[in-house]
Amino acid sequence: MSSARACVYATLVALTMPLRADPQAVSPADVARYDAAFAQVQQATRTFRADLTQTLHLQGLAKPVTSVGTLFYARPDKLLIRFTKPAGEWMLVNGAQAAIQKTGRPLEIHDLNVQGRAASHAASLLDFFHADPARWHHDFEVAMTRDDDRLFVHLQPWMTPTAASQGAQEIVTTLQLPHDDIVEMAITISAGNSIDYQFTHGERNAALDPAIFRVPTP
Amino acid sequence: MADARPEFRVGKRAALLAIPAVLAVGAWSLATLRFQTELLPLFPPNLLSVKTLKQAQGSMLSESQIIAVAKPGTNPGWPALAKLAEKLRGQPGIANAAVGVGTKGSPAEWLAGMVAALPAPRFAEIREALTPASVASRLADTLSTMSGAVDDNEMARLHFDPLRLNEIIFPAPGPNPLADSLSMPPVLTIDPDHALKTFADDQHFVAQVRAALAAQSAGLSPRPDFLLAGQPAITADISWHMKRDIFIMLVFTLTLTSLAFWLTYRSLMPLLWIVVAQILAVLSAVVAARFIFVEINVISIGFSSILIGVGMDYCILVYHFFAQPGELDPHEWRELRHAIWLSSITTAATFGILFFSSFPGLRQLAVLVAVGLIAMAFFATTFLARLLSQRRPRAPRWLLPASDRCARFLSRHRLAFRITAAAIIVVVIVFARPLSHFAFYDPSVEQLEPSELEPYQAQKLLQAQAPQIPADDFIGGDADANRQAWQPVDAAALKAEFAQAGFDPSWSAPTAQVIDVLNRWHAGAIDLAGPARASAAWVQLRDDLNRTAVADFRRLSLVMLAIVLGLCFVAHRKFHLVALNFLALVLALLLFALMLYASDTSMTLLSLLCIPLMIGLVIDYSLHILLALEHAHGDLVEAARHLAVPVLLTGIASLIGFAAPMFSSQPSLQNFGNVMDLATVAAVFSGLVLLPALYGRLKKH
Repeated sequence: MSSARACVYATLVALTMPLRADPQAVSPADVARYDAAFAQVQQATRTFRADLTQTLHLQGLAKPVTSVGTLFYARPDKLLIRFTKPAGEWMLVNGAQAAIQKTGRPLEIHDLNVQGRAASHAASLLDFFHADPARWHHDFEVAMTRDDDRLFVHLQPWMTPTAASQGAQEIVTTLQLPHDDIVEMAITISAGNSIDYQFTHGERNAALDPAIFRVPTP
Repeated sequence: MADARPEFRVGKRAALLAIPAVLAVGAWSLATLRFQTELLPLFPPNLLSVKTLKQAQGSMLSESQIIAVAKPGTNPGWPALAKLAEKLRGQPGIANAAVGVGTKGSPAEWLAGMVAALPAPRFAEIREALTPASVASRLADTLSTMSGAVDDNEMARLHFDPLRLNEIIFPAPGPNPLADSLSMPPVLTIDPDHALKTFADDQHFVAQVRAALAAQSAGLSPRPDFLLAGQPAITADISWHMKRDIFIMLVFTLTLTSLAFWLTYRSLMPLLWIVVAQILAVLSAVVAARFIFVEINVISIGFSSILIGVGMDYCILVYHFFAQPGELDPHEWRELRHAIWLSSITTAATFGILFFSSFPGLRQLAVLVAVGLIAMAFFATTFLARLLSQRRPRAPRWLLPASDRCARFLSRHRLAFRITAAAIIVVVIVFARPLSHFAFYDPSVEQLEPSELEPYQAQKLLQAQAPQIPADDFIGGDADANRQAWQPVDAAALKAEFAQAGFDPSWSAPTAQVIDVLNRWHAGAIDLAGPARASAAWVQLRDDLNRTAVADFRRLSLVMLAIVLGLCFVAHRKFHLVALNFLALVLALLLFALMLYASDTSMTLLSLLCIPLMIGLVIDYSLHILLALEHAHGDLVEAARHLAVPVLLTGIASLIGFAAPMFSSQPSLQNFGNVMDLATVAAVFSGLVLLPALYGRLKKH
């Protein structure tokens, strides 16, 4: 009996599949509208704090590597990801300086003006927060799709990548409408290698201690 | 005016047969002779340091691959270069492009070389790290390293070395051994889509790579400023510079020697015949080099300019003989021919001895110069003599009176010149202490390299970017003991352990390759001791070359002296004349040493050649002068009529000829030109000025 019931359920689910709509492409007029709305939201954002789950997919690795932490952003050019799993690790961008602290390793500091922004994944995230949509269109070929209250922004570097866009094959950012809250950012580095950031409990304009963004001397 | 007497038509048939043969075989030899552009083949191949460097170079640079190294501060990083490599593939002339760390083939082979040369305790750590329990534990650590803050370079390093064997190879000099050891910025390796057979192929491929890099990297930030290393880049650059150098040197030498010849003799057509004779002699040398070596180094070719300098001497002597006024004396002609042949055999023998040197570069030079000089004597006394006997040139009227005046001056002031000779010896004795501390010979190899050329700069950058190897670990590392101690590891089992930990073959392959190389090394199939000791080998090379050069010099100089002595006895058959030859030689050597000291010039490994060459020049000049003085019964004016002008003109031609390499882009040639000019001045002064003053039976004027 139970197997018959399972078959019925499976049939019903299969029948409903075609009813589920694929994300719909957004028209150019709507792209401009979403751009403007997003720009307005970002301009009003002085700080941002969210819980974060980072999933690293590496080619040839059977399981993805998952890490958990918190993201802190302060306008215009500060971003910190502080991990709780693994504890004690963090990535920081402050202006042209980027720092990475790995467990059991000495602090690494990069000069983004010299090494380029691709030297730090935190810098890529920061670009999302402080760049206005006009910059996206300059650095990337932008396409948008929408599925209910989710807006997917697909960024692909132009044939000749710019300083901001090099180092990524594609960036797909998922925004929750109508407030343009960031839900997810998936960065494809190369075939089979990608980093997926999922954000929860996002909070705009919370009071953040400026000291957390200070780049320590190694 | 033509002198058709048979005594001046010596070797007519031989010359008629030789000229077309030399032209035909010479053209074939030039077309098929292969040219080396590297420094290492010039050194004794059996020296451990040379072997090591060849292996190391082989592991860094491929025969046909170009390595594009971004200048510091302009490297856009691994992902950007990977994209650039993708764009370069399929560009004109390019078959493949990839990102690497500057090693040829698998970096695992390079790593295996490092492992092989480790001190035994650290080698034991490597073996321990490859046991199944350790592999599982290390892979779990690697997974945890990947979580948290993402560092692309770290990811790339871990993908290449998930067991982190590097940490054992390079123990922590500071707190970050892995970052220190694998700080090699990524480079591009670019393969051609066609075989590179000629200098032109290399130059074309380099131009194609430059164009493709410029076009495809325009949008990168920072925009990479690439230096090109690798064999094609070296060959293209050296061949271009050598072509330019040879052109400049030829134009410089031909213009100035022609001017000197014209100013002296006011005649140009015979100069053309002399040039033809020299070309024939050079071609003869090339033919010999083609048959004996097949491949010859461009530096040896540069040094064979010696041939032109010395060979000019024979031609000018022949010319001067035929340019003298009045009836020609067949007896004098026989004596001159005799002297030219003796001189050429002496100098050729002096150089020929270098064929037994340990240095392949010197062996090449010995053949080029020895065969070239004998050929020069042949063409000067046959081809040139016949042409000059048919159309006798005339020396300008002022030449002989001027020569007479100089000879009379020398004759009158011979006491002053004898004092000068004595003063040279006294000065050397008085300044013996500072002279003994002066570095007459600098054994460093670095100054021989054209280090300002781009491929050498790129190579140095590549080496500078390579991990700093703690030299103490690798000089005389425990490679032999390690080879015995290595327990072959089952690469298939290792891959299975990786798979069990969640790493597919793309992660286990580099480690498996290291294992495979080490297993083969243990079985004696390959030698791994070399590449890891590259830096130590550079240090050792200097001592090795120095030791070999000094040993060669001691071994060969005695034979050289014996040959010179023997040939002088054959020429003079009188003890006091041979003693005078040697006195001139000693004075020239002392004067040469004083000039080197005064001008703060050191000889390099290659300009050491100036010593046998100077011996050849001094013996050549002194032999002619003494024979002429004997013939003229001590009448210097009479002897000078036959010899002073040719010897002086030869000296000037030699000075010009040897000054030409100073304008080349090869530091070795620049130093050679400089040293050889000092040696020529010493030889001319000793042979032409001091020696007549020391001749015992000189008539007073």
